[in-house]
Amino acid sequence: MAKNKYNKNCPFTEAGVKYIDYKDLNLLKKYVSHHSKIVPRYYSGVNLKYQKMLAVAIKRARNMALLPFVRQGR
Amino acid sequence: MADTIVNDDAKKYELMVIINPDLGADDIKKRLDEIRKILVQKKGDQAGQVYFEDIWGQRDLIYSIKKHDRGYYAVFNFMTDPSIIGEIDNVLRLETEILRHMIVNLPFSFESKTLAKMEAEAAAAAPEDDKAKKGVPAGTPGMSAHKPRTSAPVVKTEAMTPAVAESAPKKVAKENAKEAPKKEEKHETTLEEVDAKLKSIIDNPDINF
Repeated sequence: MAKNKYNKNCPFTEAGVKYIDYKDLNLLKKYVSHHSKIVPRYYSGVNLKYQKMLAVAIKRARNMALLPFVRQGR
Repeated sequence: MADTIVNDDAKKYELMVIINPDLGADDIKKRLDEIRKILVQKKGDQAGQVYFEDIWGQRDLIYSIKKHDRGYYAVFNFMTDPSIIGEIDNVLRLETEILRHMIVNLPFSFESKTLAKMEAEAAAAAPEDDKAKKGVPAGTPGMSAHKPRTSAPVVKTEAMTPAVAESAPKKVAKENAKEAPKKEEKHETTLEEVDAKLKSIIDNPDINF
């Protein structure tokens, strides 16, 4: 498994998180790019299991108008 | 008889609802009460139970929904028989004043938190992150998020001509004794900052090389 040298540790595995809440916008904003795209696992260093949970949470938040689908980058 | 936790069929769900904000406060309250009734409806002899409620109130929507730019948000955590969920969904869908709704499965160990509590926890964690960042004084100009991209090429040229880089701090030191320490710090960190900025540009998933 190629680990990118910038982010080797997944913060979710360390904390043993069981559910990522779609309402936790402060957490979700860290894993969303400037254009509001979901950040790939390569850059964020997140485990696959948690990346899937994150993706689900971000998509739920987008549906409920808490996060944008698309944002103009600056 | 309300569902007890012992009942195997009872599962935890979360309902988030966006209600038309242009309704009066009374109308909104009426809608919320109707929703509560729907969630608690009986199936056979067992009734559901709303065990946690968080009403966010009016909030800006990121994008407009049905020509509205603001919405009245409410969150309900409840337990019912799974077979009622379809009916709840149908009723909410047909309600014209409910702009959006979403029913979500929750793991049994989920701790319900209000939005205010989540934001307070995030705010408590945030100052710790700020201190951990590199020692760039908050007040220095050009340290905002927008400027570094434009300033990076400028710094590059300075780094390439060491003569200019050496003379610049000296000039600055001559100009103002008070501003000198701030500007010298700025120049000291620039090379590292260039690396960091380049790294952030390369790492930025939005840009395709």
